[in-house]
Amino acid sequence: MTEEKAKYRNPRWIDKENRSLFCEILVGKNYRPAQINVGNIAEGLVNEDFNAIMEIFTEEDIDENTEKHKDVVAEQEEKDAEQREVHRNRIMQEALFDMKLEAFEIPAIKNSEDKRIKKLIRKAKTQLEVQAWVTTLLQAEALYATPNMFKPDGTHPEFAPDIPEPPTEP
Amino acid sequence: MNGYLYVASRDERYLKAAVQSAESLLDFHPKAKITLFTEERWDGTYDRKLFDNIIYCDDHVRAKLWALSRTPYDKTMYIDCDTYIQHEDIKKVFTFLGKNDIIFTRNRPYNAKITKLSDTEEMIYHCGIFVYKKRPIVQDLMNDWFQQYCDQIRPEYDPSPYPREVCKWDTFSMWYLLEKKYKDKIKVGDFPWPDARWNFCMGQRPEELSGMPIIITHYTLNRVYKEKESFQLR
Repeated sequence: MTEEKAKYRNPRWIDKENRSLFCEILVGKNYRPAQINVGNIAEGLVNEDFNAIMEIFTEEDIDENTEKHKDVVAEQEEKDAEQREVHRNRIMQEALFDMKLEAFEIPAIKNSEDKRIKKLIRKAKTQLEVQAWVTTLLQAEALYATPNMFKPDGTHPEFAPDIPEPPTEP
Repeated sequence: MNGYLYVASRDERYLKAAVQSAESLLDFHPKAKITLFTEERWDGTYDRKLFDNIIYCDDHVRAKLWALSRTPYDKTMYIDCDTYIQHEDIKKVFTFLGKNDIIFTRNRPYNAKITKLSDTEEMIYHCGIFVYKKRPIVQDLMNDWFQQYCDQIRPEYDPSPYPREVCKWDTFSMWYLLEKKYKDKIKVGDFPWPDARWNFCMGQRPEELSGMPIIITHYTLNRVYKEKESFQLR
């Protein structure tokens, strides 16, 4: 023989003064969340579910559930805040890290002998720092270390493609 | 002789990551001795000169654990492939072993999928970066680590009273062995404070560094490469 399930469970106040509460109501075989709003007692309105709940639970029971729920909410908010912080940190750290990896995929940086600036790129704490040291190293490579990365006319093969001369007027 | 150990198998992305990590290690410690365990099929796809030893392994999901006891070094720093060295202090790491057989950094519960096993038991050690001595008992631990992991991933393995989800973590295997088999037989220690700088995982709080520079950044391979798939997953 199966035990009969209670029709209402876990009632807690949303607004006690205006007789508004949250509870779970048995619908079929499952409990469904429900909000019951009756209104201020002075308005004289009646709600059958509310009355049934007040027959099963005392006001003190509902007060206690309400306090317990506040603790649960506070704990969950703390966890959510922690997760948001982890997510925020992760996004920023990954963006910085991706930028460093990309920097070292540039052949002029990967193959540079300038360990000093390469280490500064690796150590950089912000994306701005990475960009600044990457620029410095590329400039140094272009001007001094590997000037052959430029064509004889001083243009870079990747950045300055040959532009055909416009046709002259007959 | 002391040295650094990487294990890259199964997925070529790990090899690429290990090479990048080794390059960063050599930028800060040009004399570092580095051993790579990897698969023979990738010969010719990477610069072998970065490594002092290249030892072939198979594509087992935890070739890492198989490789650990086979280190050629007296003191070894095992480093996960998805890492990036960024400080000269990496040179000093072997001095922190002291009388310990093995030292770990700590897991951060707020940044880990699972650390707590029960009200009194917690997997506190991070198994992605650690330093260990090549003593027979430590080699036994490493061999057992491989065996324990192979056992626990079999469907018939019963992890109770611990949840089934712990079986996929080699951190659990190490925790289990240190608690159940090697307690008081192996001296386990921590990296010096703040240990976060030795294994700074993505998502970790910058305050944990206490203002000190990061030595090793630990990222997650799948996230970094998801947009740049150029390697075949097996």
